Amino acid sequence: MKDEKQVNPSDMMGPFKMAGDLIFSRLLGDTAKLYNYLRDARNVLLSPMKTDIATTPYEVVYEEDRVKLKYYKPDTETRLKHPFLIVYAQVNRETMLDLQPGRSVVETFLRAGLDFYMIDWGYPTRKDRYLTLDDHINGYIDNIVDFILEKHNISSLHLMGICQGGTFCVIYTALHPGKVKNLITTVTPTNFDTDASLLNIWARAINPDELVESYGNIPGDIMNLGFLLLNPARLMIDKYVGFLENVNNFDFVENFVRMEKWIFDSPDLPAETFREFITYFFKKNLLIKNELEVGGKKVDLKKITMPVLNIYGKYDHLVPPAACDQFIGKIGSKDKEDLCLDTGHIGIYVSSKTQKEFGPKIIRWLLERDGLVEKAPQKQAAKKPAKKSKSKAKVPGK
Amino acid sequence: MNKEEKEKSMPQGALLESWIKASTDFWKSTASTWPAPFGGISPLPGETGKEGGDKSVEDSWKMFSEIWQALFNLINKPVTGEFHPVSSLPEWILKASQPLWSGYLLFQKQWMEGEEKVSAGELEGFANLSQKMTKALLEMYEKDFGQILNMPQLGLTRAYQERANQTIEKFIQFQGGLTEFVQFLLIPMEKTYLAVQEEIKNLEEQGQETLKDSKVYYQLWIRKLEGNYMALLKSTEYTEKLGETMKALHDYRIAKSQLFMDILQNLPIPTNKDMDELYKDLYLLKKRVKELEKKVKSYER
Repeated sequence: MKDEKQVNPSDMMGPFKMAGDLIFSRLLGDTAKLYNYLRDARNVLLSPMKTDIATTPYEVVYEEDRVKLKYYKPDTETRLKHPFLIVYAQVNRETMLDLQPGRSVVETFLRAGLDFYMIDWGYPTRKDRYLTLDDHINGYIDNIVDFILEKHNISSLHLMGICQGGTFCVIYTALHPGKVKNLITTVTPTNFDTDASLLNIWARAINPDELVESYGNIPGDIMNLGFLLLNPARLMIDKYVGFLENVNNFDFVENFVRMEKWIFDSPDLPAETFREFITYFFKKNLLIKNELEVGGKKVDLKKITMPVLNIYGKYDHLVPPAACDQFIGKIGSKDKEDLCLDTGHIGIYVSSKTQKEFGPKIIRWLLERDGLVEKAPQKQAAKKPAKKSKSKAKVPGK
Repeated sequence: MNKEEKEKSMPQGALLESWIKASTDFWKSTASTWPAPFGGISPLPGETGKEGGDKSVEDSWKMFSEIWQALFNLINKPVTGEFHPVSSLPEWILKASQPLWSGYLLFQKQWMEGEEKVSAGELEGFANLSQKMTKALLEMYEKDFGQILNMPQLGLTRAYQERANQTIEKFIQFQGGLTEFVQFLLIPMEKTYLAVQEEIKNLEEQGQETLKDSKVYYQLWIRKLEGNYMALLKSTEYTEKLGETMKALHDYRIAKSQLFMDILQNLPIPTNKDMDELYKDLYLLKKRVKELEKKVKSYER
């Protein structure tokens, strides 16, 4: 006879049984889901994808050594009175501006009737290791500007710089102010004395002379590894977890692969340019202090007197607002504007949200300064746009 | 008295002597069965193959066994004067392996200390423990093997040998530095793992459902991991470690490139140094031509 006080072994197992049931029922439920997920993932990964980037047609109109000049022309009539030149950074490739249809700055400009030139820095080889900042700024960029001005039979052009290309443009404009009608800088570092980005902290800690001595040109992969280490949790783990979660989504995978193609398409950096960039900017911060000399000439920011539009990202972890927001205060221009967008370093060019803000803003700003549309009324001043939650524009001239 | 007892009663020297005699006899008889190319010099023209071969084998073995016996006598002699050969083979082996033993003991000591801390409830952590182990290994290397690599080299090939040794040394130092750097990068992983475990425990204690969605755990983990990485990557220790690793990488690459230059010099292949000199000339020439082109253009205008 069963003792009433005796504990039933099956009751003792109760909590464990419950937990076990929960796990097994979830596993069983998930098995069907897992099967469907794997089947869809296989279908997506095996189906033909359009992952080519920079597919918008262009014409190469100038070549010098490894450097090419691309010319983009809209199907419609061109609108700008002055030619428009875009200078990209030497880190990664300018193809980022034309990543995919619908998320392309190139497409936005062309749709608005803007024709423009864009520098393709190419892939430096060992023979390019001696090229300095002077060779790039007073050499290649100046030769390209002269070529464009001669072609259009005009004395100045609109210049737009991106990231490190923006720093080149600032230096170029200060040295050749007569050739630049309007200057646009986007995510452009000009102040390097900040700890807001790990890049600044690390760049101050490394010895560029040793890197140049042992590597020659700095391999793109080393640079990429450095960028990944800026946020390993997100860039090396979470990003790919996200990919696995969406691997059964065709559009997601296509976009992801395009982005991967662009991110890891990193040309090496010419050794001397790298050495000078780290030493003059990250270590000594000479540009914003007005102490920089390039090609034996002083780079005086006060000589920048033409209209300037300076755009940067509030959440940029590579070029934080602190690296960008001092520039406007140091130049001699009266018509100048800071614009801080609610986005990151790459998001400024590729996020669907910013696409509606970034491209149209530049188009409108250029058309206004080319006298093609009436200037919009100036907005109220925003003292520290970087700390605002929404994008704000400073009063031009501030 | 059985065989074992007999052996025990024999003095150590006699035991070694009988072993050497037995081994010499064994190899002598084995070698006599080898054909000429292995056992001795091939017969010269005019000599009969067998006679010549056998004689050379015999001569070689006679010489070898004499050297072997002399060496044995030297080992087995008592210590006298300044020149004192090691009195017994086991002692000699023990002395030769002394650095290895001391390194091993240091390594074991570190490990035991780590284990003790864990059992005493102190949170030592695997990353921390493995860092100590690497340090101990590197110390061991620097005290013993590393010093051998830095011994002064002599003779005609002195510089080449020195560069080869340097490359080995710098490679080991770089690997050590890289291991330490990677271990440093693993610290946030371990910290996060422990922190998430603690959080789950707390949730359970509060009676909250914890098995519902693994995605919640993942989000918790990745958020904490990101925070821990940010703290590490901003630290001075990380920046210093990064600098040290880059320095070790630089030293290794330079040493390797010098060694490769030694090798390539003997082959019809230009070295990086040759090419860089050429590129520098090309760079300066191009720059000059471009300047002249600009000047000519400005005169034309």
